[in-house]
Amino acid sequence: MSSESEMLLNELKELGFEILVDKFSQEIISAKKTAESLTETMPDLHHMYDEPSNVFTPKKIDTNNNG
Amino acid sequence: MDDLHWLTIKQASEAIQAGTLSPVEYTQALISRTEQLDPKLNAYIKFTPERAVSDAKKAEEAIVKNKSITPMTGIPYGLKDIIDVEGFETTAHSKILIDNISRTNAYVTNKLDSSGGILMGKLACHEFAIGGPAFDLPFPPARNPWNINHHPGGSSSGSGSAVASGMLPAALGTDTGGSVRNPATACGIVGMKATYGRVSKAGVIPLSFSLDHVGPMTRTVEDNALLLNAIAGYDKNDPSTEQNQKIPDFTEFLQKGVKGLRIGLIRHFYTTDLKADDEMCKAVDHAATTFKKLGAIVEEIQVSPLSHFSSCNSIIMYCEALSIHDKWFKTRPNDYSKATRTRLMSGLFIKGEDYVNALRTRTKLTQEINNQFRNFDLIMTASSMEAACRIDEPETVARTYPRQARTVFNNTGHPACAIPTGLSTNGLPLGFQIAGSYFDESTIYQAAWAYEQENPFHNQHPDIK
Repeated sequence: MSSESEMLLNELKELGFEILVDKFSQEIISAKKTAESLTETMPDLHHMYDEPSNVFTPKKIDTNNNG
Repeated sequence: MDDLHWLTIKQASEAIQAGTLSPVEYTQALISRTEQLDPKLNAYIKFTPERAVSDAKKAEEAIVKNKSITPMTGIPYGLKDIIDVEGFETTAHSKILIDNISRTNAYVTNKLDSSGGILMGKLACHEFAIGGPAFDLPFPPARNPWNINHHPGGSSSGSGSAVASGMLPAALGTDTGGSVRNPATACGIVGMKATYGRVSKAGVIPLSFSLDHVGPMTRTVEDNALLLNAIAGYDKNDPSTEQNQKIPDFTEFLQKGVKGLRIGLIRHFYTTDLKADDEMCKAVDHAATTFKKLGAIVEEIQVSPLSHFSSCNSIIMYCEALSIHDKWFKTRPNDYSKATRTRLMSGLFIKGEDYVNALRTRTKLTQEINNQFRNFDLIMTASSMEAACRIDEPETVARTYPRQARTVFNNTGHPACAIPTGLSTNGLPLGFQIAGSYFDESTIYQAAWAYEQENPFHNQHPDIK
C-alpha cells in the first residue's frame, strides 16, 4: 500500500471510521478512485464567476414554460 | 373471470364497481399467484395476505354501501420496503433496519389506504435504494420475471418484478437516479417519476433529499395515471410538495392523441455519449418514428453531454446519502452489503468544493433542459442502454448500472416516464423515456398512451409458472 493510501486511511480513522478502515481498506481505495472519476467528468465551472451563488434550490427554478 | 392476475387497474376497478368482481375474490387470486411465483422471484420482503384479505373485506363493504369509492377501491398494491406502513417493519432491504417498526404510515400509504387500496406487502429493493442486487443481505434479490437469471433493474426491483409477473397490478417505487424507471424498463412495465414535489416523500427512508421521488409502477399507461391520481398532492410534512399546484385528473387527456405535439429527441445520449446496444437504440428510434407517424413533430436536439448529468447526480447523491448513513458507517459498516458500502463510501472522498460545484452545475443543467420546454412539449430519449443483464455477474451489473439516461431528470426535477417497447431477441424488455415540463405529467401520459395503443406490448406477459 502506498504511503498516500496509508495517510488516507489514517485520516479516516481519525474521523471515526476505524471499523471501516480495519475491515474494508481495499474497498476504500476503490471508492476513492470512483469519486475522483466523478469529479473529473464534471464540466469546468471556473468561468462562472458571474454566478457566485448559483446553487440549486427547486424554488429558484422557473416552472413556467409558457413564456 | 379467468386470469384475474392480468387485469389492469382500470379493468378490475370497473368490474368491482359493476359488482361483477369481488375485491376479496380478486385479492385471493393475487395471493395464490404470489404464493406460486414469489419463491422464484423474491419480489416480496414481507407478504401480508391476512392484511390484504382484511383490506379487501373493507373495500367490499365500501362497494356494497356505495361509500367513498375511488378507482383504487379494491385494487391490490405493494410498497417498496423503504415506505412506511404503521406497525410493519421498514427494512430498506438491509440488516441495519431489520427491526425497524414504523410508527406511522407514509403519506402515500395513507393516500392509498384512504382510497380503498389493498396492501399486499412490502417489496424488495436494492439496499437503502442504492446498492445493487446483493447476495450478502438477509433477503435475496428480486428476479426478472422475463428470465429469472436476469436482473429486474433497481432499485425498486421487487416493485418491477411483482407488477410485471402479475402478482400485483400496482406498486410504488422510489427514484433518485432512475430507480422507478430502471425496473420499469428492465421488466417491461410503465414507471413514472413525477415532478419533484408532486408526490410527498414523508415517511419514506431518504437516499438523497434533493433527488428522491416516489413513483407509480403499473403495466399500462392508464393505470399509471390512475395510481398517480391516488398519491399526488400537497403534504405539510414534505416541504418540497407544492401547496398551490393544481392536481389534475391525469387520465383526462389520455385519448387526445399526439398530433401536433412537439417532441425533442435527445439522440446523442444513446448514440454518442453512451452507445446503447443495437436493439435498444433501434427501439428508441422506432418509438420516435411511431410518434411521427401518429402526427407528432419530432426533432433531434442537443444538450450537455450525458456524463455531466450523471456525474452531477452521483456527486450530490453520494454526499447527501453519506449525511444519512454517516453514523452507521462508523459503527456498523459490515452490516451493509458490499455493493451498498462501496457506493456509499465514494461520498467520503467528495470534497466540499466538488459538492458545491455539482449544485452549481445542477442549476445550469436544469435551466438548459427547462429551456428546451419553451420549444417542445416533451423530450424523449433512452432509459437504459441495454436490456437487463444477468443478475449473478457482479461485474456486468456494475458495468451496466451507470449506462442509462435517467439521472438527467432527477437533477432537473422534470417528470419522466419509462415506457416499454417490446422484447429483445433474447426475450428481455426494451423501452424508452419521455419527459415533460414541470407538473405536466398529463402530456407525458397523453403521448405514452398514444404510443401504447399503437404498440400494445402490455398485452404480452412473461411465461412464468
